Amino acid sequence: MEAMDLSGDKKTSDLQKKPRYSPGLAFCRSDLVLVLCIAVLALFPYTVGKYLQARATSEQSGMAAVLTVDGKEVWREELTGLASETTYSVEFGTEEIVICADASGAWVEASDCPDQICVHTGKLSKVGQAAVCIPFRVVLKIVATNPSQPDEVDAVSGSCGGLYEILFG
Amino acid sequence: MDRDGGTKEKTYSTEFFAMNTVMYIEAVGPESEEAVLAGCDKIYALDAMLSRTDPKSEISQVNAGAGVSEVTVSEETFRLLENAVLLCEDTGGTFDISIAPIMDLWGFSGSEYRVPAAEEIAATIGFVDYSGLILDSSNFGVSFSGDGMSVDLGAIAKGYASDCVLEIMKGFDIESALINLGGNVCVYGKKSNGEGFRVAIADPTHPTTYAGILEVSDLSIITSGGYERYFEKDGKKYIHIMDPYTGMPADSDLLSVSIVGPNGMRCDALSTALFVMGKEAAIEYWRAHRDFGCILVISETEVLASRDLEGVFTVTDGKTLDFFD
Repeated sequence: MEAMDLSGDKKTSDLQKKPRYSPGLAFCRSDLVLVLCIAVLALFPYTVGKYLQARATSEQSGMAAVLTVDGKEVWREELTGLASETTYSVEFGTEEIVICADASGAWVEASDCPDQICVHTGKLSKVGQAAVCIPFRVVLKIVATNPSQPDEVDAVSGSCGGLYEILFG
Repeated sequence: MDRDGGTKEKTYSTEFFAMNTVMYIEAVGPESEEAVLAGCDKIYALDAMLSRTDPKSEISQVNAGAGVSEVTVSEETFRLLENAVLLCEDTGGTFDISIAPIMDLWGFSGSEYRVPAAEEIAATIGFVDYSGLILDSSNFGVSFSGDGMSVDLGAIAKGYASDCVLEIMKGFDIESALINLGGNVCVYGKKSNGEGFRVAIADPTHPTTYAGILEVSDLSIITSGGYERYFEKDGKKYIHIMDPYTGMPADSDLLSVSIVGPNGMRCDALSTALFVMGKEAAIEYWRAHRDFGCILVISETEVLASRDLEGVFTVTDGKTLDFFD
């Protein structure tokens, strides 16, 4: 008992000697750790919420990104469950196209094609949207994987997938 | 394949590249596969027949020789040219298939764009006159009134192709079809759930959003706009839709024009013509005809549509829709 009491006294004594939260003292390393912990905890619900929201969106619509070359599917990725942005390199023939995807959509990150229209199309986030590369005869599109979820649209008039139409030559 | 609505139907679809764009054909019904494949074959045949860059095509042969002597073409190409000239007349020349020399001058026939000097435009615009196309129905002969003229069916080829494909597909046992030729859309029948097809109108101000959505069946929906193809030089934007009267890019107060009607070729021609006309003249043209639907995108937030589309056309959030009578 005595030892314990002494120990308690010692602790009290130490705290009195080195008060942690007294104003006017330097911002020490442990304070920085504490602030960072608070910041992480504060952002946690936001980041988790954003992830769950994106995941719920793709689960609800059951979206997948599909890449076709000359009408034939060469790559497919279920967007549901993608925890973070993921990069894919898809090779076909002597060409290569880089695709990025997350739970809420997909986009062409890079392509060696001359006009770069597929890259400039940007992120596709709705079923039915597509990015088209005429020179490589490639289409990246978002498709529904849940049959009970109807497509938002069946077709888009005035766009063949973000492509700014090339005249019939 | 099990379609929505619980009805067991055979669905067949294919995606392919032709006419320098991506195409998609889908059909539902016992003979959907045969119908779609027959439609594809027709597209490839038309591509070979009407292409302006393939020297073996009939149109290339017309352009190469008709200024010197008459060129005989197939009956199909001849009838297509005949109908195209009627559309040129009907639109007062705002749609003109003889615009090809001007398109070449600006580089829109390929991809090396340039801004021609005013003198070059003045020297070329004289070749643009659809009435200089001489059609002899006795032998399907085509000639031009002078050397230097040429025709480009780019503004109607896909619309015409969708009409041809649909006619062929109707010869098979199918219940519905969706034909999308590079954004020129044609829908036939209703979906298995009994609803019409949902066809979005591209947003001219953003490549992956929509100006609005139509719910339709048995119609073509064709859109033209300056956003589709353009180049920029010294901070100025030059769009690919040319004014046949000036030889300059159309100075339109519209961002896009969508035409909804039963004939794809006419919809295709009118979408270009009404864009060139501009808002007031386009509305007047619609009032004088009233046998097609018309959607005019005025700005990022303003959309006008002909009254006949009320109930089947809605705009997306953030845009306003007004109907005209």
